[in-house]
Amino acid sequence: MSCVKKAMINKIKHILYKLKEWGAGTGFLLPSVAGVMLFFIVPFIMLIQMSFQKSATNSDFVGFENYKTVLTNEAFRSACANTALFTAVTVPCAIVISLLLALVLNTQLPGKSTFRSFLLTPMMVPVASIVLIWQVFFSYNGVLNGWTYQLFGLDRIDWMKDDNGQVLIMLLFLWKNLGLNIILFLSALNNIPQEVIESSQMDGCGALRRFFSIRLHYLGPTIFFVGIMSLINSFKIFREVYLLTGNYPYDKLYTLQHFMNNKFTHLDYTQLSVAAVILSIAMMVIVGVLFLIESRIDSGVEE
Amino acid sequence: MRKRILNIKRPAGMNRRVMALSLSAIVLFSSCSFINNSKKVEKVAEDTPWFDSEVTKADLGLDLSRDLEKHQILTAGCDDKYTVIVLSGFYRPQEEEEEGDCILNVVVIDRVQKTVEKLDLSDRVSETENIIDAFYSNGKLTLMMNKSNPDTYETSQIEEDIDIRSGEVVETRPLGEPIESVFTIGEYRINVLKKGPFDKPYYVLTWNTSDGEGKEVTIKEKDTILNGIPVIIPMTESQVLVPVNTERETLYYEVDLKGEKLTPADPKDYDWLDIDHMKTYCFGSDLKTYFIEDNSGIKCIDLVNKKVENYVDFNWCGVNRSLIANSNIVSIDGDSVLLGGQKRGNYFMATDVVKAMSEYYLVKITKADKNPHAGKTVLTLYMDDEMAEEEVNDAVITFNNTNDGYYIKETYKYVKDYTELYEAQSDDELNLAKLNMNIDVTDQLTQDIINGKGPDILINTNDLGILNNENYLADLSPYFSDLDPSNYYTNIVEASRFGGKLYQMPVSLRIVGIGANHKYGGKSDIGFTFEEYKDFVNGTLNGRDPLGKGRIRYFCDLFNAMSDRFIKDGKADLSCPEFAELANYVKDNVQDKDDSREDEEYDPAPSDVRSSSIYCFGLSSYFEELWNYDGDFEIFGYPSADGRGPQSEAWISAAVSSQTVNVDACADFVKLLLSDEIQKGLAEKDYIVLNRLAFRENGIQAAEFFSGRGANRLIWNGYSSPKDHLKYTEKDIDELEKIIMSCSKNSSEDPAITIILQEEMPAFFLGQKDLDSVIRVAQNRVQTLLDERGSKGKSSIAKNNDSEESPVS
Repeated sequence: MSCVKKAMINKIKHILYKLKEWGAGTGFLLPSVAGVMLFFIVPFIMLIQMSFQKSATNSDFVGFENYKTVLTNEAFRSACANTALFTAVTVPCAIVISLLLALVLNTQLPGKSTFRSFLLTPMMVPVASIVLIWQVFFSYNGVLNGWTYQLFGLDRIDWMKDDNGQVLIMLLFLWKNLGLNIILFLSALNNIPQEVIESSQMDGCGALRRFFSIRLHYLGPTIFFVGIMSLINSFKIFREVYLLTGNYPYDKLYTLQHFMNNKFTHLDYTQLSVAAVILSIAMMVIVGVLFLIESRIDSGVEE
Repeated sequence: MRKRILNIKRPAGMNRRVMALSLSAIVLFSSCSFINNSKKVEKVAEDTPWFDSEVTKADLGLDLSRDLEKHQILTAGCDDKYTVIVLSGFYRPQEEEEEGDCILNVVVIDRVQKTVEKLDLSDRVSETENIIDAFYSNGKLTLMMNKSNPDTYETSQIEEDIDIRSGEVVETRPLGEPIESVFTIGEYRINVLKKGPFDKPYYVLTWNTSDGEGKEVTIKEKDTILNGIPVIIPMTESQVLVPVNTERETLYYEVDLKGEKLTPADPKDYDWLDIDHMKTYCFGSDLKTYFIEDNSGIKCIDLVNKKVENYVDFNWCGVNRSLIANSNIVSIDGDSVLLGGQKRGNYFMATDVVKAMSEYYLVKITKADKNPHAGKTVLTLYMDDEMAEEEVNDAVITFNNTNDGYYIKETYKYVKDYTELYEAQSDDELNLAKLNMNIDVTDQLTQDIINGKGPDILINTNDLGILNNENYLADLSPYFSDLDPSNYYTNIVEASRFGGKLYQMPVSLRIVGIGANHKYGGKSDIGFTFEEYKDFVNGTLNGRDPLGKGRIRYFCDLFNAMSDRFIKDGKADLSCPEFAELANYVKDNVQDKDDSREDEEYDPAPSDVRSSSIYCFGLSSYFEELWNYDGDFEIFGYPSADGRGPQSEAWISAAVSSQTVNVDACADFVKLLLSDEIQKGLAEKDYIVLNRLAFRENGIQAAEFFSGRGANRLIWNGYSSPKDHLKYTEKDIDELEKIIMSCSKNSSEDPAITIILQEEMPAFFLGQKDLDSVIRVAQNRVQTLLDERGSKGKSSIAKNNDSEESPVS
């Protein structure tokens, strides 16, 4: 009996000790957690709730009716396809191009500081100014059409109302976002331990082999981070597209954010909520996959 | 024993599972409708004040066979026995006369016997004299008038005391200096005199004390221009507050009437007081000032507690609000209020205005012991403007008196700010001000409806297009699917649908089209094809297009008139031949112009062929156009591919909130607006109503009226005299009815589609792009818009041709 009693007392003491430890940690975390709960978690839960309601003014539960409506909506499907294509092309390009440029800038290239400033400038330019520049160049009566017409006699192209408009927007995205990625890669490249590189050189590793076998592994977390940031920024391209083309652009430029923005404008909160939930699920899946890949790449890296 | 020791180590994934389970529960729980945005049910409380009403109608003694040139009605005052009203003015001169006969009628209403006696004192005034004010108390009527010497043209003011029984002048007193206004407070009669130079006046207040001693104070400011004293408010029995308007603010002075002392007060002490919107006021026996500033009720100034209180809410009177809200407060005594005035809302072009002007109403409202409507569920009604206010209020009273379960009260929560409108200097600014005003009200309404606080019934909100959505308004189709086409113009109802749903029920309509002689119409007899219109404009009108708009606006208007050909079943079809025909027509035949300029005034073409853009809202405007066109007038539709007829617009509309506590009850009210009685009242006010019988009966009466005495109303700028005026007959009413029946579409616009067209079409009109590439892009964008709206949100201009959206019977 006394053994059981002793064990119970020990258990209670252990629980109390754990609670004390937990309590201290929780206390420090509470303000941040409260903020996250209030501004992210609770609104997200309300969003999910709204997606199961009949309408913004009628909170009757309708099951997955709204999801069916949105998922069968042609505009939503088109927006998803456009957004997916845009993301699938621009994010890898952003990673690869910025990594390549960072590698170039990490060498002893003459004039690299000027080149670096040139690449970082688009980050500082306001969105409206960028849009203005793009309009001047690529509108129907813009500079590019003027040059091609006068120099080569080619017909004008309405770039923003054409299937090629997506390419232009991708270029716009890359131009605007490469700078930040380059900085992150440059910093990561400088943090790779030199002794590992030197020892590999001494062992006779070539440059390519050193890059893929050593540098890439050390750059894994940074690539993951840059990927996430580029993914997030790829959704923010809505701003520029909206300023260039309005609420209802040519269908190749119509993205998920257009759909959601228009639903918000028309106070159709249920469909907006559904779209937001679907987008969240997609993001979670993508980020989850990225986490998985990153953990595999990172597992072999020594700290 | 050890086996009985509990394993204190939990499995590794247990915490995650617990968290996942908790979150799922939260989501499931939150998915239930525990947050309910539906409107809360409000009941009429037992202790809600109710005022019984007693209405006495008095005939002011006007000659109904004559038109009025000018008239003024003064409520002189009342005592326990009588209420005295003074009517003055002139009749319109008859033929060969230079000026009309004068009018001066004193109407004495016996409050006890409910009898009315009229004294005709017209021979006491001449054309050079006018009544400024009238006061009655304790059997004595005093008229203050301007008298002008016909030889010297000098004007002086006099007062005449008149015996209300015999009509004899008892005493005449000259007033030394012209008095601007008079305020009677208790035993004091305070005269306000305006003196000094024109650009820098000052005011002198004079009064006599009880022992006959004359007193005065002078209100003068050195560097401020005084603009008038709107009211004097009693503070105590011998002290008054005098607000004085200036350019920038209102100054306040306290005047001791016994001590003849003027003390400037700090305006900040009275910044809670807003006297600018007082329509009428009265001083109660409790020395409080009662006033009416809007249609909501009577308010009371409490100077002691520095606040304005609600004294009577007109929702609880059972009297037509348009009558009492525009009446003067004659007296207030305890819980009883006497109001006197005339009904408003009689437009200049109504069939017989003189009859309405001759009617005066005394309304006595007395606080009742209990509210007879206690326990009923309250429905709130919002009117966006004051059109048809009287008829809507009549319907409200009928509903409240006949419906056992529900009670309608009006809300004045949504106030439009007209400042920007009044300050507009151009058409562009005016249009922008109207747009901003509507946006503000729409925002408030939509937010309140979403939060369950909005009105149940909305009147005249058809201009607020964003409301036409199942989130905000209920579909009234089930309630009006059985309208008999022989009794109502059901084509107008059908044309008013948005995406197959009836959100705004038209109660009256106006017709939009092109006016011309019958013979110029196209083959369809109701409209023009593009070719026919081109020949008409270039040939018959020598190039002067009645539509007279810039290219883009022109194109968009014609597109909207034919939109059912381009948008159907949620699909845009801009590649159809009709669109190309429309675009080419506009490109080849319409000059670009600045839409911000006013439309050109009509100048008769050398061939004297008249044609103009028409917005026909009533019989008077139809008759006027008939006269302008020498009796041969037709309203044709805008040019279109199929030569269709004109469009209709709801001029007065009724809608029901989707959040209302009971759609059936609200629909019953809307049905009341379509009843014979209400529709007849509207028809008499010059509205084109939906009720065919009311329309025809009133139309025939109007034809007779406007053929005779009413012709004067249609004379503009002396075009012709009534002698040569056109005579209207029942045949003209038949013609107008045919025009109404030819309306097949609501005049409405989908702003989102219009914006897309405004962005794409200019490139074609300017020759920069060919039509195919413009159509490709425009169609692509419009289709994206329609796809986004899905099956719920068809274009707001799509006709109800969709079999899926057929109305529920």
